[in-house]
Amino acid sequence: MAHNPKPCWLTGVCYTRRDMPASADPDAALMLRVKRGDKQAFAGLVDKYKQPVVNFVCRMLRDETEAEDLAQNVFLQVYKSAHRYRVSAKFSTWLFTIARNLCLNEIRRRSRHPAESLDAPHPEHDDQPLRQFEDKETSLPPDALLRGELEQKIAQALATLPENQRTAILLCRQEDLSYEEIADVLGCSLSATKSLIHRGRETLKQMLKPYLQTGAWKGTQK
Amino acid sequence: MNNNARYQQLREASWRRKLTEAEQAELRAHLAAQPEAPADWDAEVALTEGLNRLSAVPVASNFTARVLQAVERQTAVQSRSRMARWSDWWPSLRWAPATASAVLVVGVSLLVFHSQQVATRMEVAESLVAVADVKSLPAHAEILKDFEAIRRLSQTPPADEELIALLQ
Repeated sequence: MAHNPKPCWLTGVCYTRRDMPASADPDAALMLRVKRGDKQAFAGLVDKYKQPVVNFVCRMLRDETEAEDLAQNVFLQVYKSAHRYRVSAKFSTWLFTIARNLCLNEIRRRSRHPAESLDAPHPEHDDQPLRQFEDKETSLPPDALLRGELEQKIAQALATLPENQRTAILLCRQEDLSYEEIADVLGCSLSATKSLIHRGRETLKQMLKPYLQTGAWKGTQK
Repeated sequence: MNNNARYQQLREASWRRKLTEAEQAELRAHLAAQPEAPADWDAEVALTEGLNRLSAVPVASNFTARVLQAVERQTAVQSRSRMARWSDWWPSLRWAPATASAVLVVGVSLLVFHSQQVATRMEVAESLVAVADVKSLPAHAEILKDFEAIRRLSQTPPADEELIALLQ
């Protein structure tokens, strides 16, 4: 079947050529119950997707503090838009489309209002920085420290990618999203999506070359 | 399909899942044939592993409860907003039924009045026509007794001028 996504923010991702029965996606069936006002069904969806959505938002914004608040807004938006939900795509595709759009709005808002400097002095105690962060890593064992450093490097490298490449790579981690569904979230073709992932990964490989070459990845266990 | 395209397919598959035995055999054959390919493949594997190992971001245990509270607040705000809009309009709407009834009564009355006026004018016009025909008659009615006979008498034939000329 030819794939021609027409992303449609808030009305869900609309495909005119694909019909999907609610039974094919249990989350869609839950969402139809939410549409009828079933808050228990909504709570079930939140429980199931809160972790992936928070992960996605945090990696997109590189801000753990704001990630949870924004993730809550994602689900709030899902609830508010429930009356417009159509079973034309998987629920997760629709959910991540909303999440991505809210992240984009936040990124644009931040670019218009840059964050205050972390080095700015505290207004009352000018010998202290405005924000203090606890150093959580000093008492950890070496493996955990190495793992933490590698993760930090990956997260930093991800943050430097263009938004669409970063989104594509992050959604690639979602096991229940196919490449076609990732394309739907991004609003581009399948080949363009794979191209974004490929280019993003090439950039990451270049940036992380020293770590990749040492084989430091291997042997680090979670 | 050429080797590079197939290698790309295998790479894309490896981003999402473990390769099958058959796919791994294909891959090994490709890597053996391309000297620069093994280093690139190692980097791909390492990156995939690194991305998969990114820690889950901690989520508060009351996350779902807070979302549901936000939904309740939103619903309450929307209800209050709808009630406020209704109560703003209600004072003027209170007079609407009485006003509508009055307008209806006046409208119907005007329509009936107009119809009657039209009917009356028609009657007057017809009467005038009748009167216009009557006004040329003489004052006494008995003159009309032999009206037809008199009317025929008045219908004389034209004079025979030739006969008049002969008689003269």
